Amino acid sequence: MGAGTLASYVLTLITFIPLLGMAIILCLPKTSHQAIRGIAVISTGIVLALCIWLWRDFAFNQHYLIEATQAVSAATPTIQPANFCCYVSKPWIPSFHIYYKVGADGLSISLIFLTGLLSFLAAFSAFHIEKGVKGFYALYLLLVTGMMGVFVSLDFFLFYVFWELMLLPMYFLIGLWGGPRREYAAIKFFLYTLVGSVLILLAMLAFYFKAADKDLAFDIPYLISSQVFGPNSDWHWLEKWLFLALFIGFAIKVPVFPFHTWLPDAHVEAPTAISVILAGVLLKMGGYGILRLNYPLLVSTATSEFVIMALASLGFVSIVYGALCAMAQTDFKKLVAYSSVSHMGYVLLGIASLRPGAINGAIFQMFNHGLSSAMMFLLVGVLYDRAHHRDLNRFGGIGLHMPKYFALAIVGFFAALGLPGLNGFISEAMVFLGSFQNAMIRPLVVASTLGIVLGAGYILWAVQRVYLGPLKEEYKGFPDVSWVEAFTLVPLAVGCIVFGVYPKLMLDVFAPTTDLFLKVLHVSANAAATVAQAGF
Amino acid sequence: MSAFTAQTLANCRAIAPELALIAALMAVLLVDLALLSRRSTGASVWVAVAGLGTAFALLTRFQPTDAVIFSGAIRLDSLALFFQKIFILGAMAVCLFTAANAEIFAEYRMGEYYALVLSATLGAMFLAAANDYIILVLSLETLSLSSYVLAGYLRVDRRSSEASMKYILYGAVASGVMLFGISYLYGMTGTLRIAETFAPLRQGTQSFTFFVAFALLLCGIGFKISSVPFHNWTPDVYEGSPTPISAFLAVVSKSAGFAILLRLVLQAGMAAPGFDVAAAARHLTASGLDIVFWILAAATMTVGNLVAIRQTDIKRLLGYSSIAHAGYLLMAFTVMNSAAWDAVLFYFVVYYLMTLGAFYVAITLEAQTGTTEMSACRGMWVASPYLVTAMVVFLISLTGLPPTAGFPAKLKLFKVLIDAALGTGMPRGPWFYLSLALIGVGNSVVSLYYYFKIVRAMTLERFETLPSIRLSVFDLAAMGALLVAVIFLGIYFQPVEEFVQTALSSLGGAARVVGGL
Amino acid sequence: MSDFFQHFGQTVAFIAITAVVIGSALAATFAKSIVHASFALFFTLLGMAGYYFLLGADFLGITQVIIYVGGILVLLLFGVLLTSRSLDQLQIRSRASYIAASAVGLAVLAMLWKAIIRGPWQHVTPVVPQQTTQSLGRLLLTDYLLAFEFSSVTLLAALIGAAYIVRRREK
Repeated sequence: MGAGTLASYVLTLITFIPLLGMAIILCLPKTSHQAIRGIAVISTGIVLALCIWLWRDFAFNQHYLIEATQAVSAATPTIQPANFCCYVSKPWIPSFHIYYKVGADGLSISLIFLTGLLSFLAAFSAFHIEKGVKGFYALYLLLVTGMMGVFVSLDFFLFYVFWELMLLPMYFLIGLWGGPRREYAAIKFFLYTLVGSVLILLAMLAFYFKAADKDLAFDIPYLISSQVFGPNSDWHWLEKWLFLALFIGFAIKVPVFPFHTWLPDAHVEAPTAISVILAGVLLKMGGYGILRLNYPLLVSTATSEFVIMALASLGFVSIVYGALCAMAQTDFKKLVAYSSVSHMGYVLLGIASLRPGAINGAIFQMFNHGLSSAMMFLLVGVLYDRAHHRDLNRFGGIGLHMPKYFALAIVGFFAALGLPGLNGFISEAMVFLGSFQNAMIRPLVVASTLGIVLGAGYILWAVQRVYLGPLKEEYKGFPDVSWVEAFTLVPLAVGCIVFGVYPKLMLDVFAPTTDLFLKVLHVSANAAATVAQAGF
Repeated sequence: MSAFTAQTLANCRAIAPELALIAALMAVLLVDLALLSRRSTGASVWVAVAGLGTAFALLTRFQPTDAVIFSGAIRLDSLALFFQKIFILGAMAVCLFTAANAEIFAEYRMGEYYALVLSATLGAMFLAAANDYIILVLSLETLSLSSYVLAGYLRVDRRSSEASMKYILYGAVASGVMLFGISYLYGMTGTLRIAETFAPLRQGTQSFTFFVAFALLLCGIGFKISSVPFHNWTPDVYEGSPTPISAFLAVVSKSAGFAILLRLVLQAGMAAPGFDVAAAARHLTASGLDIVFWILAAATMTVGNLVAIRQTDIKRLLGYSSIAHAGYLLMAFTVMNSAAWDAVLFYFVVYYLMTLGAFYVAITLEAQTGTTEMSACRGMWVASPYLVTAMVVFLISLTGLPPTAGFPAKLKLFKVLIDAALGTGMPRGPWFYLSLALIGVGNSVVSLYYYFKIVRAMTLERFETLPSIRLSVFDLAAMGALLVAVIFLGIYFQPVEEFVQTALSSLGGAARVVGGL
Repeated sequence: MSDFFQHFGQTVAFIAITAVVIGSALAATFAKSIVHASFALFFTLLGMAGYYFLLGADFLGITQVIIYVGGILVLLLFGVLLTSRSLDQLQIRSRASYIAASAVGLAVLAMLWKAIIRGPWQHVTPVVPQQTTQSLGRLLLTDYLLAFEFSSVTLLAALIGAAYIVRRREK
């Protein structure tokens, strides 16, 4: 298969190969655990291979970048299908004007790659599950299809279908294979996410009904370029409400304070593999939705002074509040969960500032958080499998007893902490430097740096309580990481280091997308500075 | 042969499907009589299914034409054909479901059962085609009388007898009230043709008396579709009846009520040939009927959904949910344009599939565990993951979430309202439609909560003993077929669109139906 | 003059029949004993037949007498006498429901009253056919053929249902 042919199918394959895997698993007998696991690993493995191909093709065959840049330099910047690689458009339900439109740009490719990597690794980390293996992997692969679908969809309806598709597998994966309070956590996750979906649905319908060209009424690039709720429209009054609806819908997923309360419960109760997916991929969907839909669809509201201030404030609160909560936890997993709230706060802060560096930082932060939080959950999982508890205060001295584990743990936690040389540092620094240029939110940015200090505080304190100090008697028999565990952890650790040392590898992928994003928002790097000074 | 005889014979060819059902009804009775033993159960179901199949095959051979036959007694247009087709398929499903779960009827002879299902279906078929009030009342009574007995078919079971009694009492009052309304319409116009009794509406000379008569007529139909405030019987009857009959009432009986309601509304704007949809809407709206439907829709879905929250029995819960769905459907009656009817018919196709599916799960539960209490389903996902998966999909579809067929169905209904709100030239302001759409959306969210109570009981709640469920091949096939249909039509619903389009072809006139959203 | 007498006679007969119908209907509704109620219903149904005769619908009047008075009511009485005695005292459940039912009933009555008073009724010139039976028969087998035949299916369904309900248990 030539590269050209593959390019037109690769996104479809990435999305539906897991579904095929699920179908095969459903046909296997309930007891053949090895075969089921094998199918899950093979199908996610193929997906990962395709993701790597896609990433390489995009990053090193610069023609997509050139096309994207050309669009940026056009007189009236807008997003067109040409800005997306591997674009496919096929009529799906003509009478509803619904199309199967998929395509990828820098933003989605970075997240598709992340999803492919994490779903492959998480499939391994669930090997120890013995209860209902068939159901678990069937639902798991369905979840992967849903996640991939969200990132590749360029049709709003298709996007929504995939968005909803993720909901149920997740509900059951938490509710059936979770910890002691799994029912509560599953219901809470379900209700929160559902409210978000309903809001997104309402916004989607509003766009559909007002779109001038009905045949493109679900087409995301068209909706972005037409701005039906823009200042010239009779329905401009609705724009702020649509923005609110979409924002809450996506903010629940991110999660942004005050919509975050489902997250700690879901994380704590979910099995390790699902926590990895939850933190590594699902939270990114919120950020992705904000960047793909919320901002570009509603430009005049997104660039208004109020929204910049409000979102930056929410970002600041999430950073600091999440960090403080993390510090107060005694449950290791809950600590990691709250650290996600804090880390995703940077994403929001970066987006709100509307500065190129900060937005690149925000996207990169999403990617990095995907690696480091997934790694932290895996690390906690390793410990929990041995000790069967997660109480920070009961651990101690594990570092020297399990040296390989300790080495990996240090990489993971320090990447989350933002240690220079590891990936988290780059993206956090980019967010801060970028958003600092927006004079309006400068005080908030300065205040947000408190998050770095707090982050260092809770991570170092946790590392000290768990890994350092004298080894407690009860942990003496613990074996070091097994090969399966190492297999899941090492790629992530390598990723943390590689993207920390050579971030250009990923930054180049989405930098043109960010430029285009800002052009669409009518904010150029130079103009922004002046506008900001003029009290934009 | 006189001209009249020749014409009558020609007319009889047009009602060949109905005649096939009558023949099947007789055959069921004769087979039952001839075998006179428990063995007849197996034979009578096949006779009934064969009769229904023949009727369906005959129906599919008809071209949708707008023919008024038997001196104007019935009108065989594409709308009637559409409803007749889905009635037959629904009845066939009910017969097969019953035969596959014979445990429910272990102590009873089944000959009369299938005969009554056939006569009820026959009533529904004539009801969908009724063009004058005599046929309307007769067919409604045939449907009702058969349903009364079917609801109480488990004679020894107290709850079943009670359900039957309640159904008879409510039904008799509703029929009486409706007849009284018809007598007024006759008194004012001197005719029993439905369309002609609406002449005052078309001429703008409608009087207070006309409204009273129309309201009384609506009472009778409101009972059949279980709209508030005539809904009280629904949960009790659904709970007490043998579950296949609950399914029959929820799909065939309810859609028959909607079929005649739709016909009444369309008759308000007669055009030759076909109906003038726009004129009907104009006349009815001028009389404020859209406000009546607004109130009925809002009240019906809200009451149905809110009361459903507290239910612990799956059948009862599905009863309330069917009330709520009547409310969703009534939303389209506030707009009354071709898109609205398109949405209503589309919804019915999907409603049949998902409701039959959900009831089939309930039937299996009743047959195998003897109860449909939610608490009895605990641990079901271990006992039968297949059953749970099927139920989850049907409930998601009933809620109206993608990727199931319930989503486009509900979306179309809401789209009708939102288009009306955004459109120009509508008789009421945007908020009239928008507020109803918002109530509908709110109700859908509420419905998800109680549907998921079932899912929760089946999957998440702790259990002590595993329920014993063994699915037969037919169970697997039936659930699987409905499951695949619900998901497939959720992803690709063009076939339903086309089916509904042919059904609307006889609406004709100025307002050709524009398909899709 | 004879016109006047005819009209006068009709009015008197109408008032008399109406008094019987309303009075016996009220009696049937409020009777404490179900037997009394059944007998009161007898006069109501007979009064209805009187209306039909008054309107010149002789066949309908006879049918009303034979079917309702002679058939259904007698069956009803049989039913009452053969079933258990617990039914012979009819009671309205509570004072509140009594009041509520009365209020709803009066409201409906007021609505119907207004509807009847203001109704644009069609007035046909009273051409009284000498014999309605023949024309009714002709209509039943021509214009109303389908309804006539279809009613047999309705009755068949009712019959099957009734036979099923009264049948003894097999086991």
